[in-house]
Amino acid sequence: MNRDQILGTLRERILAFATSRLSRDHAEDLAQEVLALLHEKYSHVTELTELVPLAFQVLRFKMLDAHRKALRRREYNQQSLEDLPLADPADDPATQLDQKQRVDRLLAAMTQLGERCRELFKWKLEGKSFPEIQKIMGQTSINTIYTWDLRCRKQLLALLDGSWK
Amino acid sequence: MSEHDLEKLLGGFAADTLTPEEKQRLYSAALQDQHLFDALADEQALKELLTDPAVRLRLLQTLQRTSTSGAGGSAGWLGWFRRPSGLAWAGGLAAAVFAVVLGTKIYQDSLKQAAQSVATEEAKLTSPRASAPPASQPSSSQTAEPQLKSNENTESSALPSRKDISVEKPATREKSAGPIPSRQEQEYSTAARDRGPVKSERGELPKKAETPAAPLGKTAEEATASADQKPAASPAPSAILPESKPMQAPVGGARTLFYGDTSRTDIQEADGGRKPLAQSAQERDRLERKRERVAAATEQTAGLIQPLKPLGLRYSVLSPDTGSRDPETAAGSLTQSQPPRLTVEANQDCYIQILAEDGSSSPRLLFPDQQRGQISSKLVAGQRRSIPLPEETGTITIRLARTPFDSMTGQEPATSADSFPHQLQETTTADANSDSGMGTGPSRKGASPQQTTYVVNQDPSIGELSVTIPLNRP
Repeated sequence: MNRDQILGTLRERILAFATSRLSRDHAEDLAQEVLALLHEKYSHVTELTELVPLAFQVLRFKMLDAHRKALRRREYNQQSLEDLPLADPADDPATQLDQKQRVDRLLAAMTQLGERCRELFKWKLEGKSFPEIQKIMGQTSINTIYTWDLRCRKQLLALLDGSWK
Repeated sequence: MSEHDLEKLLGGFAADTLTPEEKQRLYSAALQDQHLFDALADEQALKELLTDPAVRLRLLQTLQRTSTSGAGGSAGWLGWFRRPSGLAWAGGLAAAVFAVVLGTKIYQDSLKQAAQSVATEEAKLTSPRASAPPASQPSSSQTAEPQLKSNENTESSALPSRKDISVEKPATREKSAGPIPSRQEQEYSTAARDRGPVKSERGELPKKAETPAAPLGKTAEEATASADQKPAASPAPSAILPESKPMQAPVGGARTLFYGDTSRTDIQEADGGRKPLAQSAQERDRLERKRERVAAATEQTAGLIQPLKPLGLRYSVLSPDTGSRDPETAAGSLTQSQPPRLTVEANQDCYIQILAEDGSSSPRLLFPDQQRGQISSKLVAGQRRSIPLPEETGTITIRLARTPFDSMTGQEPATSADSFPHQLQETTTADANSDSGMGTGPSRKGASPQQTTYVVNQDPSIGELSVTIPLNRP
C-alpha cells in the first residue's frame, strides 16, 4: 500500500470518525485540513506505521482547534469576540487545567487497579514492549499478555468514566 | 490475529510500546476497520498524555508506591487469598479444623452416652432388686419360684447359675441349707479361699447387706425349708452377739467395710444381680469394659478423697490338727481335743485386748500377758496375730481401740454390743460344703469349714470395737 492509497483510506476513516463527533460540514472540513497538512508538511512520511499515528495526532489537534474556534465564534454560547482575551502562544490555562485534571484522574484510577494491572502499566510506561513483558511475567504465550492488557485497559477506562479525555 | 484480537494492541498503542510488526498489523487493520480506527483515535488522547515525560514519571512513581505499600499490607494477604492455591489452602484448612472439632464433639458425646448407658443399666438393675416384693409373702404357686430365685440371687442365697455367670467369683457359692437367723448385720457366705482375691469376695458380699433384713431372713428360711440338710442345733448367740440390736441398713458387708473398698463392690454387685440367667458372656464382657471405663473416670474425678476408714476386726479360730496349712476354724465348731488358736487382724493400726471368761469368774486378761504390765497390745494393720486359747475358756471378748486401753474393765464386755450399736458382723466360710451360719454352726462331717468373721464398726468416728465369741465346746 503506497502513500496515496494510505491517505485515501485515511480520509475515509477520518471523515467517518469526525462525522460521529461533529457535524457533517465540519467533519469534511476537518478531514480536508488533516490531509492537507499531511500532504504539505509531512510529505516525507510515507510508511504506514508512521503515517497513521501522525494522522491520528493531527486529527486530534485539528479537532481541538475546531473546538476552540467554536468557542471563539460563540457557536456554543454566542459571546462577543471583543470580550475574549488575546491568544497566548503557550497552552492556555484551560488546557493546562484540563491536562492536570486528566492526569489526576488517571493517577487515581491507576491506584485502584489490581496488582497485575499496575505491574503491566508500569512496565508499559517504562517502555517495555509486550514480548518483553511476556518474558518478565514468565508467560509462554504473548496472547496472555494481550488479554491481560486489554482487560486492564477496559478496567482503567471504566474507572475514568469511559473516556480518556 | 483477527480484528477482534487486534484490539488487544490498543494498550501498546497508547504507551507506544508496540513492536514494528504489531504496529504494521494494527494500523493496517485500522485502515480497514472503522471501529478499530475510532478506538485508536480515542486512544490518542491517552497516548498524548503518556507522551509527556513528566506525566509518565508521575504515573510510574505512583504505581511503584502502590506496589510497595500493597506488598507488605493487607493487600498482599488478600492477593494471596484470591489466588486459587490460596483459596485451596484456606478451604482445606477450614475443612480440617471443622473435622477435628466435629470429631472431638462426637467422641465426647459417645463417652457421655456410654457413661449414661452404664449408669442407666445399673440403675435399672438396682431398682428392681430394691422394689422386689419381699419373699416373706406366701408363694405356693410355681410362678413364685423365679421371684424367689431372684431374691436369692440378690441376697445371700446362692444359685449354681450365678456361679457360672460370675467371672470374678468363680469359687464363691453360698448355700442356705442351714437356718439363718434373720439378722441384717450378720451374713454368712461360703468362700473357696479364706482370704482369696479381695475383689471377688468383696464383690460377692455387699449385696447381701443392702437388702432389708426381714425379707432376707424369710427368704432364707423358706429356701431352707425344702432343703434336706439339717444343720446341727446351734446355740442362739443373740444373748451375746450384737445381732439383736437394731442397725442401720449397711451400704456394704462387714468384709467390704473391713477392706474399705466399696466402689468395686457396688459395680460387681450390680453385675451379680443383672439378669443372672439370661446374660451372655459377650454382654458381660461389654458391660465389664464399660464399668471399668466409668470406674476409671470416677477415680480420676474423685481425686484423692479418702474418707475415714471404720475400725474393723477379722478373726478366726485355728485348729492345728487339720493339716499343715493351718486352716481356720470359726468359733463354735471346736472339739475338746483341739486346742484352738485365735487369729486376729485389724484393718488399721490399733490396740487389742482379749478377755477370757469361763462363766463363773469375772473376765480375766488373756492377751497381752498381764505379767508384763500391759493391758493392751498394738496390732498393726493387715498383720495377723495368732494367740493360743486356753482349753477351759468358755467365752472370749476381743476389744479393739485406736488408742491404748486405760484399764481392763473400762468397758464391760457384756455390754459391748450396747456400746457399739453400729457394729456389723459377717462370717465367711471357705469350704463350699459347709453351712453358712452365724459362727455357731458346727462343721459338717468330712469337711473342714474355714470360717472367718469380720466385725466392723460402721461409724468411722467411733474408735473402739468389741466382740464376744463363745467357744462352743461339747
